[in-house]
Amino acid sequence: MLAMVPFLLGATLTPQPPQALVDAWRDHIAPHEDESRWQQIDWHADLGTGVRTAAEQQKPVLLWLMNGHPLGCT
Amino acid sequence: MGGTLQGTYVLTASGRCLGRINSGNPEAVANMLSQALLEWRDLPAKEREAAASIPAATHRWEQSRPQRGLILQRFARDIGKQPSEPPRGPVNRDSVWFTQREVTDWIPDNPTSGQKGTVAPLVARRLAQFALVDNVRGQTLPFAAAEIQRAALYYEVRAVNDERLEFALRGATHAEASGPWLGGDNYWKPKREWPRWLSTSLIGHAVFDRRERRFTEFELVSLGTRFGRTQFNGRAREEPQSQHRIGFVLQLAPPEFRVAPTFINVYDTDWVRHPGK
Repeated sequence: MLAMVPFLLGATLTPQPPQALVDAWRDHIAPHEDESRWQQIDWHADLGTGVRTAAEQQKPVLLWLMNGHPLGCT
Repeated sequence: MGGTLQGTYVLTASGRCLGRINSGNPEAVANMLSQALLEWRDLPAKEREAAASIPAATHRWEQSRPQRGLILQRFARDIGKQPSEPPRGPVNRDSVWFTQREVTDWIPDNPTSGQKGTVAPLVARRLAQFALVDNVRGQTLPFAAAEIQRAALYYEVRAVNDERLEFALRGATHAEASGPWLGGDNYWKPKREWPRWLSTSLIGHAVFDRRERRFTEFELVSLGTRFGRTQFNGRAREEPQSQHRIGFVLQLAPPEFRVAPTFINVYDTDWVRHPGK
């Protein structure tokens, strides 16, 4: 596997690495199960929908506020 | 309530605050949630039913999400030398949007197996400017078009029939910001220069539905090297001249992932709807 790493880091396009190596890097980089638990919650993307749903279901609203962009991870 | 308003809140639908904390400590957050839930249970039913009137938003960036376009989710993570190493956290998610036209006008009309060509330059450039950026640990800046020193994505037809086309994809990018901000006068304009570069290689595959003229599979794996930092991307403790490895995965986003790309407001397109327009 190590021999294939230079391809991926090189500036020029060299022979195709084994698909298994590409898949291994994909699985390494993409979120793992313990990093995706937040997706088990059926989040609403806007406040209005969240508030209406909370009132209908008589549940409190869980609200997360932050500065910056929501995809900024700050 | 003083200080920052950032944090995790528990509210009634009418707006009464039952609990609030600004912490990355899971136990502290869980404790706040438990206390807030106890307070919620003590509320009279009338207070639980009341809802504040929230006016509908007149503009949301997801309104520009291209119909039938290519909607990718992008993951970014710090990486080591081998994928067998324990993964380093965190991983961050972003998105990249293309219209159907942007991602199909390069597709050959009469493809043959083994045929090679170049994916529309716009695709690789948008990736290099806005997706292959170091926001693994925090918010960062995009690269300006003039800072893209290399952005190339090539295809090879692997298989073709009347219904579908299978492509292998290969590419490389290099973006470098080494002087004054070139990204225009907008939300992202920093107060000082943030010299940095990011260089990647890309490999992947795609499957194109020839009848529907849309991709049913699309995946790119990208390994790269990064240098420099920005104000909020969580790299302030790194050695100033150090280089680090970074990895990206881009793949078709699930339909429910509708959050707009971080840098949607500086996409150089005419299909993004801006506030007030």
